[in-house]
Amino acid sequence: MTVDGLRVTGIGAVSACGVGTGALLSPPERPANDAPRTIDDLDAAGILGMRGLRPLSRASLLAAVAAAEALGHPADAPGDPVRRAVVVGTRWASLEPLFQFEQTAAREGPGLVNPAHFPNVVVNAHAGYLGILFGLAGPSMTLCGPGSGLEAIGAACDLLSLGRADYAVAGGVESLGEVVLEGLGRNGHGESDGPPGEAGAFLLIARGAVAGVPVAAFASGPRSARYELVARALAEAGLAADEIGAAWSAGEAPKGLPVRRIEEFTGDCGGAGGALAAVAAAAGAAASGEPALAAALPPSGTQSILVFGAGAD
Amino acid sequence: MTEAVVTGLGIVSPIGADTDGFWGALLEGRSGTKPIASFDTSGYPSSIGCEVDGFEPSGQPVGRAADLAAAAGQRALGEAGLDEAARRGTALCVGTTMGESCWIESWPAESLVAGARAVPAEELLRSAPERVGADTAALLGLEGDVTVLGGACAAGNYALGHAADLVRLGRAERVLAGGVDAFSRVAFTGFARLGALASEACRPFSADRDGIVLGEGAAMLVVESRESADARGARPLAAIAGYGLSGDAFHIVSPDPEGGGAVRAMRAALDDAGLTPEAIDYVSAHGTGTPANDRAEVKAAQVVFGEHAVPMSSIKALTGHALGAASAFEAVACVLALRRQVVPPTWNFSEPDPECEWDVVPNAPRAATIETVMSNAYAFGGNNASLILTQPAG
Repeated sequence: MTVDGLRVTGIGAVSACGVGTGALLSPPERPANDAPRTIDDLDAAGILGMRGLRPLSRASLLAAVAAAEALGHPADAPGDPVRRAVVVGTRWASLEPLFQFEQTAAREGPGLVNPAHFPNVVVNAHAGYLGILFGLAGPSMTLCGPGSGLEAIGAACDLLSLGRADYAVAGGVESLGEVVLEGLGRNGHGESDGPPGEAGAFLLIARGAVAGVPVAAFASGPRSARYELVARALAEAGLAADEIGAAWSAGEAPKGLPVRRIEEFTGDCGGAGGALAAVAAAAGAAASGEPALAAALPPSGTQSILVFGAGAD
Repeated sequence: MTEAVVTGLGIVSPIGADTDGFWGALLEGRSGTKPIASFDTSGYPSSIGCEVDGFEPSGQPVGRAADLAAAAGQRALGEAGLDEAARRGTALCVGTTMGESCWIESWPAESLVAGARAVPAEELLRSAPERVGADTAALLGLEGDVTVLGGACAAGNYALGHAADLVRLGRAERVLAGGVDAFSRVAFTGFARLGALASEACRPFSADRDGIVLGEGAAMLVVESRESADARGARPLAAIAGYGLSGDAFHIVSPDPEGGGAVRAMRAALDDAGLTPEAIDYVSAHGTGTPANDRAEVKAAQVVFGEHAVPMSSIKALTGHALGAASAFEAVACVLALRRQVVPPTWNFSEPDPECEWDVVPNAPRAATIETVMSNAYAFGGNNASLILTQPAG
């Protein structure tokens, strides 16, 4: 679909490259090995300047750090709280809390699990916590799947286009814990072709904003449609492939474009990968003023393409 | 924008495995509540639940949620009269709370304590919510796009609303949409620790209500464009007139006591449908039977409907709280209420609560003229979703 009047007015990311979009785009040299790309020594409370974060899962903390940057430090959400949507995409965010909950019940008995940890087993809790922390009281939505971070950004564009909200914080999150690391490690990284990573990546998208990176088109579909999606999105954006200044992908790299794979920097961050690609592409469009493209073409599940237009300011 | 209509219903519930059985139970007050059979409840403050009896899984290496969703989906696709080719092109939107937690719950206590390295590798990631979508689509041979919505206790409404948007925006011609959750020990443990489990029965809106009865199941609806239904000669059962979402941004498990988020979701749904509150003939309540939910929900209804004394009932007294499937069950009940012009009652109602003063249609079905219904669902995370269904035009 063509997206009218939507602009990205904030971006945020945290990954093994570091805290902040600056770190994502100029990552330190990393050894070319298969070690999981984890985020070490994350001081979420210090970064966020918030107390009371103890009940949050690691995934919720990563989401909060990235969303706070997208909203501006200190997090300052625009507009009426009830007109601010939050949309989160993830694959594994609820798995670690689910495992830990059952582990505590098995070790200490079901009467001794901490009820404050129960909400984290529910996959939409991450969006719920973002809503509570940043006053996002509009539509709150969670999508699950390998390409869900970019899918979430597309869903947020729909919510805005249909007038269901004026602002949306949208992106993806993935954290690495025991279950996911074992699960990916012992299955040869699953379907991915690189080491696993963890990340949070979010855009702040506004309806009717005059400044920011224009959202030009979004297209999504099943895996069988993946080769048509780039052409469809470019046509809807009214752009030719050679007009794209920067393109970032998670999963397969679309052909015929100057694509960089986000995994080479962050590792395979599951549902967050497509959102990282969107953050990198939006940053590129903001810096150059040229159109940019983000792709999430994972080995299974929903495939999507987001195009940013020229004229970012 | 094109109209999104419902052309097929499918359900696997603790009170019936087809729509006639389900509707009969709703009118006759047959409850699915019984002693929990799937795990040992010693050490818990409650031992009752609403499990689906006699369900035959597919035998494929998928979790119980995907099996339940596929069984409900098969019935919905059958009722909609879709042939194999039409099924292949159908998209899937499925809402869930935890996905396939059955795998993690199946690991022996000693493996859980020893840690993830003691668990079979292929089972480690199978509990991810995305599996419900991928496996349900594979079981049914659906090749359209698959969307998995994590919406906890409002997940069914999220999926149905999202499906309606996909159809209205021209993204999909036809979507199989609904909600599912399998009976979960994790959920039972969590609600027990929150003190939210009923001791004997779920009694929505009644002064003596003391919590939820956990349930399970799946309900799926075929949502398609009016043009697609007309071209196939399929008879629309109902139309999705609109839906509304909101976030409480208040507390991760407790509802806003003033029902503010619930009010906003209802009003957003009315706006989306272009309707006034007076147009609503029946409200299917979330009505979990916890003191806090029902109180906040009636407060919200008072704000939205004011003097318009629309009947509002909860079927959870019979079905239990099937989490991600709950609002999908209730959407099926709403379509049947539209078709059959009867309001399903709130069973197990023994005495009015001064804090829940509303016409909750206690203990007996009521014949009524029903053109338009609203179905409300509220979830952990402060996620609220209201859906409006109407008689199809023409």
